[in-house]
Amino acid sequence: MALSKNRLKEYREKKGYSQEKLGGLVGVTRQTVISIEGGRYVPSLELALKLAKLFKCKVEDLFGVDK
Amino acid sequence: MNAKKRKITLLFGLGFIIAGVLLNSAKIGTQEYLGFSSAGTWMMYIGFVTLLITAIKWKVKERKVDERINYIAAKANRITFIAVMVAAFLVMVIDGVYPINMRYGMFMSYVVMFMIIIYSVSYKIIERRN
Repeated sequence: MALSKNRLKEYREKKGYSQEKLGGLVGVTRQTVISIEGGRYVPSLELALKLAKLFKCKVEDLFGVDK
Repeated sequence: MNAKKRKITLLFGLGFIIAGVLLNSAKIGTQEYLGFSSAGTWMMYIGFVTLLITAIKWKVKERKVDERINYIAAKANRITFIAVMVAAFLVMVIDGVYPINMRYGMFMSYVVMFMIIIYSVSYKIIERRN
C-alpha cells in the first residue's frame, strides 16, 4: 500500500527539525524518517499518531490514501 | 539498561556472591552441584557473571531498533523460512535420486550456513528497497 498524500517533510521543515531530530523525538531512526518521506515505507498507526501529536495536527493532515 | 534496573542487577549479583561465600564458609551444599564443586561456588559464579554482564551493558550504547527495522527483519525471516522449506524439499528429492552420504554434523553446519546467508542477503536487499 502506498500513501497518496504525505506531508511529513513539509511539516518537519516548517518546525525546523532535521530528520535525525524528528526521528529521536518519535523514537525511530533517521533512515526510517527518510523512508517515510520518500514514500518507500508506510508508518505504523502508532508512529503516525506520534507524528500527529508532535506536529499538533490530525493524522489525515499528514498522510492520506486514495479511495 | 536504566539506572534502577542496573542497581537491581548489581545487588542481585553481589547478593549471590555473598550468599555463595557464606554457604562455602558454613560448609553447606558442599556436594557437586551443576558441574561445580559446591552450591556456593555455583552461586559465586552466577553472581560474578551477572556483575560482568552489567559492567559490559553499562558501557555498550543501546542500539536504536525501530519499527522499520522490525519490519525488515520480519520480512527477511519469512523469506529465510520459505527458502529453507524449498531447500529441504529439494534435498529430499536429490536424496531420493542420489543418496546423500554426508556426516550429520557437516550437513547441519551447511544448513545453518545456508540460513545465515539467506537471512543476511535478504535483509540487506529489503533494507535498500525500503
